[in-house]
Amino acid sequence: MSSRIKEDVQRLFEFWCELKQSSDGPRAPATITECFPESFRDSQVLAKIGDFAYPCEFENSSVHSYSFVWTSDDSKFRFGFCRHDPKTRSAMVLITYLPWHDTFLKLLAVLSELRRNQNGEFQAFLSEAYNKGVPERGSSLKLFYNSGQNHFTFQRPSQFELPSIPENHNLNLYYNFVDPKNMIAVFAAMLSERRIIFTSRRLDRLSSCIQAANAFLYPMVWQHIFIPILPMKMKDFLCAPMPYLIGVPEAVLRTMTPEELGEVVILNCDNNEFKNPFDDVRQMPPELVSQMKKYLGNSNELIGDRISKIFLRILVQLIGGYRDAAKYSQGQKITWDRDTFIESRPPHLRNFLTRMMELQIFQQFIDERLDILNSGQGISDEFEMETLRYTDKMGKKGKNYRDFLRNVKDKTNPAVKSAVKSVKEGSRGVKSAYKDLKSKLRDITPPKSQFHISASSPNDTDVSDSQHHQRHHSAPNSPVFLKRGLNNDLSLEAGRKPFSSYTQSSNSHAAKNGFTLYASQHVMHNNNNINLSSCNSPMNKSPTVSPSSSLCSSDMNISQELQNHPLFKSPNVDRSLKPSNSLEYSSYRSTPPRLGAPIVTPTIAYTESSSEHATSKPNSSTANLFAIDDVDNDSPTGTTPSTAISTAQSKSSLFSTETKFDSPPDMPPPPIPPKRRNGSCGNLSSRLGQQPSRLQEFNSSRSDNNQVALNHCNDSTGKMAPLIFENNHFASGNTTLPITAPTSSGPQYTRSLTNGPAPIPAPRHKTQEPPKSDPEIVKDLISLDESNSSFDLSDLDPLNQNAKPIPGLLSQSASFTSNMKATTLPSTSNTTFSISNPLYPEFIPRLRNESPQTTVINPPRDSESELLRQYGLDKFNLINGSATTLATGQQTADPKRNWTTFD
Amino acid sequence: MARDYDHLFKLLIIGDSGVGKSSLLIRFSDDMFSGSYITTIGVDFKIRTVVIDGQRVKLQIWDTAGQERFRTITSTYYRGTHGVIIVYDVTNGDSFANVRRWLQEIEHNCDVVNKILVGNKNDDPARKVVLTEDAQRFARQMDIELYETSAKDNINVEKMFLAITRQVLKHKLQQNAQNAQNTNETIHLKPGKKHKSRCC
Repeated sequence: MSSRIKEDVQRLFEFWCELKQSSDGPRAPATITECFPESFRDSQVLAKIGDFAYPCEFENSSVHSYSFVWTSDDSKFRFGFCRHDPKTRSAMVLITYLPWHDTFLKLLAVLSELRRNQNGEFQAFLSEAYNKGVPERGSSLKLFYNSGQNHFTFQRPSQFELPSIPENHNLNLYYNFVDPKNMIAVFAAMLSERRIIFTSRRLDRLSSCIQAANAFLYPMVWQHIFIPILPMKMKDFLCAPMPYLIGVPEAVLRTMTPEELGEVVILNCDNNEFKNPFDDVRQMPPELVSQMKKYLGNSNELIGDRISKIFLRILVQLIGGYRDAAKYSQGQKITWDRDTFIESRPPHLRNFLTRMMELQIFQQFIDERLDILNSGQGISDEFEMETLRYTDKMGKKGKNYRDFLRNVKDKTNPAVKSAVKSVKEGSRGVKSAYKDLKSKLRDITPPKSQFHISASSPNDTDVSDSQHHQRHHSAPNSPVFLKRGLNNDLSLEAGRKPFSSYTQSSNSHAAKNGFTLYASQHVMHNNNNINLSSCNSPMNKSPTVSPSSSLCSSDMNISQELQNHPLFKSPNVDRSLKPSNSLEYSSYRSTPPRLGAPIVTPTIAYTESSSEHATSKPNSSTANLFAIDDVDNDSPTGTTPSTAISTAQSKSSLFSTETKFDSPPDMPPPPIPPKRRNGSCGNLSSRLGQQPSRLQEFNSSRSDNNQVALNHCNDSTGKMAPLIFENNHFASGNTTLPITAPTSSGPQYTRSLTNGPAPIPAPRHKTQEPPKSDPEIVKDLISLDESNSSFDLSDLDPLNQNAKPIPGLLSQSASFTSNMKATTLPSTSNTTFSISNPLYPEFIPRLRNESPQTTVINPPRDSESELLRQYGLDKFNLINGSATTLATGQQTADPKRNWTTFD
Repeated sequence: MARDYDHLFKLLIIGDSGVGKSSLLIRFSDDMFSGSYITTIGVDFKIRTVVIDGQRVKLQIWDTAGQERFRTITSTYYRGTHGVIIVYDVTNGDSFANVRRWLQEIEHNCDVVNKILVGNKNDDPARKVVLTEDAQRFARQMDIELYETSAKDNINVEKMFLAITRQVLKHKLQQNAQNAQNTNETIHLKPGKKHKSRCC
């Protein structure tokens, strides 16, 4: 209801066209030279599309892409993605209802390449995309081109996922060009529903910054005028008296007088100038502002969805307790009382909250949540989860909204009336018990405590609680250990596409095991170095792109690069060394549930490299989607990434592989001292029962990576193998998760494999996997998949107490406990996933089918005992982690900081 | 550059989509032929300059898309506007219900002073479901003027716009006078929130 994204979209896109500006001059209207489908008759679109493709005079010296937004009668958004190519002097525009920014910007690059090279195929590709429909939740659509050699994947993004760096192009630009101070200022202005103008000389920067800033409002949605690109023709709309968020190209803004604009908030994304006549930041609770400043100021840690989380947590503190003011009585609809809400909040927030009550965005938020609750559905998204974490941390007992949830459930559902009290009391008991446990855990050795926890939590509440804690771990500020788990996840993610092939590769290349095994400590040391450098981002290596340069937005190469490579992902993001912590974020960000960009990119890059382009272009190796962009882009900036990479290549083949797969370059395995790691890995691996499967998977992914890497850095193969080996060990230590084989998605993958050229270079054999383990793994996978099919959506509903245990979840949790027992190692990967993958029940089935990790996504969160276990786990992790691997000082410091975040 | 007006007023027109807001605007506007942007960027406005009591008043009337999704329209939406035109469709009971709710909300939470209630599509008695008496009773209760119009047949449209304009202008002049008085005599006056209204 509050969302402005259209549902039930039938097509990937509604309209495609190419426009040219007539030679009469910049003022002349652009005309459509070609379009698809030709039967398209929406006169509004046809009439106005030129205004948005050529909104004003702008610098058109390099390829750049941006998005614009139209709002239809019902206030739903329609998105336009526009790509300007200075060579052809034309603009290509896609109109769609799908807000898949990263996907469509990439698609435009592919389309323009196709159009240039094979016009015949271009038509076929376009019409196939048009007619294939929209992939359902959790699935993807793969389209082939170049006579089947390449393919483009439309991966449906998980819609409740927070934007993260570097996957989210919009956020990348916002982060790179706008100071944290101004982000806060804009956030504050939005929370006052001001008339807000963003301006920039660059259209891509403009639209991206607006989109990114808008996303920070989550879980609220901007309800007012929203025009990321305002054409010159429509400049009078800046006089609107109502709240708005409008991106105004600088050329347009220049024509407006201050009198016309009135009291308006202006952010200049080029020079970081911010003007607000109202000083909204000061209106915010100082505690929250300083909190934002503190965390945003720590530029080391802003990778992944960290930034999004920082803003989300502010909103959690402000409105996360909205359920405390919900009133429900038997058989009646839930209502919400604002006075009750204000009173239930801490005093220092009340003033501001009173004003927030007057926000349309808040009103819609509450309306929407109540509607969902009244409809008997559960709400489980990133916001609710964060709220849960927060309330738990604050130690609110009676008010815990899990109680509330249960009450609501019971009371609104006449069928289940009795349980409320008992649940409440029960939860209290559990809580106290959990506190005890918590304190005990501090003293107890990790393994033991872990055992205790799992043993003491036979009921499902326990399970869910533990899951909750896992989530906690995966929070951006979660403890160190995650990193290792993340590493695994990362590898998994990277290898996700190759999943189907993993057995083959591991089998066929098993002979090479010896090779990989030889890895000495020295080698590992090398690896560590590599990891570090890669996590610093390739930019650090290239002289042109130093971290410092990336900091200042105004002149320089970096900004230019960004402009030229709208999709260019990783490097700019790094303002400084990225902590291994960030690894975790980015890795879990890119886990399968996040179906968007990351996955798509790898495919492209992969195919590209393996196909004819591979040899010729260093760019393609870097580049993900950008590879394509780079190809047609002859701008000088286009070369930078490639240089960065090529330098990186020599140092670390791992890096190149990762970029290849579009996993952010800053997601290397955590820098952990080789020795310790070695030891810990050994121990762990010996303890781990489930290792093999994980390892195998890991191997497979790695092998694919290697293959890619090999294409571009043949000389670095020697290093690659050791790297992989190391990673495997690493992975084995952390991976406690059962690996479900994506059987359902298998066909798809296999298809891609068979169709796509998959040259497997020698180094790929790094598999130290014993072939024997394959059958096992496969078996596991199959069983899990079967279980998938048997559960009901309602079972995932946290509100549904009658839900039968979900096989997948059960087995998962079971495996989880067993893992804990067996290994004493927390399944960090579990945590990661659950965190990053919130969401509504509907997602789960598909996601689970799609990949093993997704099974973790929707644990029942409302049970108290789960909390216990999770807490125990956390504790355990802390202890264990310090024992096993103490990475960097940074890492160790992080957990503490994280824990204290909200206290 | 000399301004071509003495006052610039920004008005909002609110109401469900389909009640004829756009038609009213077009009917009122100087420029009959300018296209609408409401389906493109979700917002539209029309301009017209009228002369009232010898003063040139430039009116901007703003409309946004999809308002029916709001259970309540909060005060931030009205911030910065001089007056509100609330439109329902006399042939559509739901649109009237929404308007009632919004108006009550305005009454409680906003300092929107100048407002006018408009029942549009009043051109086919057979289809009329919101009776004039009901609407009038409600208007009286809310202390607001009511006009029943037909954009199609151009009934009452001009009158209605002039009425709200007059209201806004009156209010502004009153406030100016008040401010002047306040500064001159430092006399505490009753807050100027009372609605001047009811001219029909």
